[in-house]
Amino acid sequence: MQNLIRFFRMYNVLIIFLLLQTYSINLYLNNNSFQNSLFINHVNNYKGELYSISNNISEYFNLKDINKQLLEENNKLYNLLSSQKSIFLQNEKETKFISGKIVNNSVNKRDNFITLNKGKKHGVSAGMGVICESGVLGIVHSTTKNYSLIISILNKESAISISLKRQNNFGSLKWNGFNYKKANIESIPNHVKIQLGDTIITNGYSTIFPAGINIGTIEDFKKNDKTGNQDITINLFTDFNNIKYAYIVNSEQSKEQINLEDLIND
Amino acid sequence: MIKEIKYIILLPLFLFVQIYILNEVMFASYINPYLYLIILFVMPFKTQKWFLLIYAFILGLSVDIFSETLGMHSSACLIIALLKQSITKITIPHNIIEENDELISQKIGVKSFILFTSILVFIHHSILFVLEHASIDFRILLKIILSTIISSIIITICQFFFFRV
Repeated sequence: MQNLIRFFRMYNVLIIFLLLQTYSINLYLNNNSFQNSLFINHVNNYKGELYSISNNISEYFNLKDINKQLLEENNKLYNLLSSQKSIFLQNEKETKFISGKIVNNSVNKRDNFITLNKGKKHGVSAGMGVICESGVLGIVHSTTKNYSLIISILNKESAISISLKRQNNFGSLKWNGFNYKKANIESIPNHVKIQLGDTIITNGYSTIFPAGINIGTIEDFKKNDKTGNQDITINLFTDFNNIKYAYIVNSEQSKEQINLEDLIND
Repeated sequence: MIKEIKYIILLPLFLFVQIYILNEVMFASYINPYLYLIILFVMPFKTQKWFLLIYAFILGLSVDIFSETLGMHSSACLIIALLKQSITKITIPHNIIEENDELISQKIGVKSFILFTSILVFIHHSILFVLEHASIDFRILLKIILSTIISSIIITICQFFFFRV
């Protein structure tokens, strides 16, 4: 017994270190894989409130920028109004938008998330798409009563179905983790002739986003013989470091499409 | 013991600065300075080791909770806390300091402060970014080196203002 006590006395620092380090590695492994982010989810509710307090203060400093963004948005809406007939032709699916304010955002990590101040109470549910006036932001991951957590495009788990504007070939959008102004496109085969500067838009196949929302322009492409697909780099239209408001896409008819397509799986 | 209470009071202050101010600042689009490490560095040479370890864990975990990187900062901080004493022995001439002195540049000299800081910051950032990206390649090494330079500069400057004899 005395030997045991002496052992603990001698190595007490090492024992504390090992205990705490095991606990933090355990936290790292359990919470950073995407499906198991239960803890973050739980803390999110309280954190959302904390951030909205700090946001209320910092809002005043950004009023000038916000005014500018609103003006641009207004302009766009006026343009849409004046060409109303063509809108109905483009969007066959009826969609509603829920607007919300961004209370927390990051661009410098490998996995970035955005927190919005709209939640279950306002009709948001997991899996809905999120856009802003300049392009696509991401997909809703989880919601609490008043807040929702969004996986932004700048996350290794996000993959958004896109197509080229001129050629209609489709692929998926990925982010490699370094520059928040650029992203990559996968699974466009080598034989497709790509033009520099071509616009990337969402395709309407998935039920998450309406078709034809701008994402970015092609900056560079290279043929890759190993995979048979081209390595494409694009410039994103959205400046993720400077977004204040977002719109959640809630399309009623998409539920009908999902139900229909589920019939095949059964 | 009085010094230890001082550090417990300083913790929420530096946490606030790190989360609300420095996490929003970025150099060259992806370099984020981590100032909060400064409280671990200036802690006196002969702090109780168990206190340093538990303190480092709480500090890292609170930064983690607010930046959604659970486990990364806390494990990096713990390793720093473990290595700190042996690195101070190598970098700082041991006849200069007394046991209860804080490790600040007025006591130990600017040159050895910068050396000591940048070695510890380099270790911290390597662990942090390797855990964050879950891989090792040239670009991550570049990110580690650039971030180390900027964090060390900011820590050295802040140390002049916030910690005095």
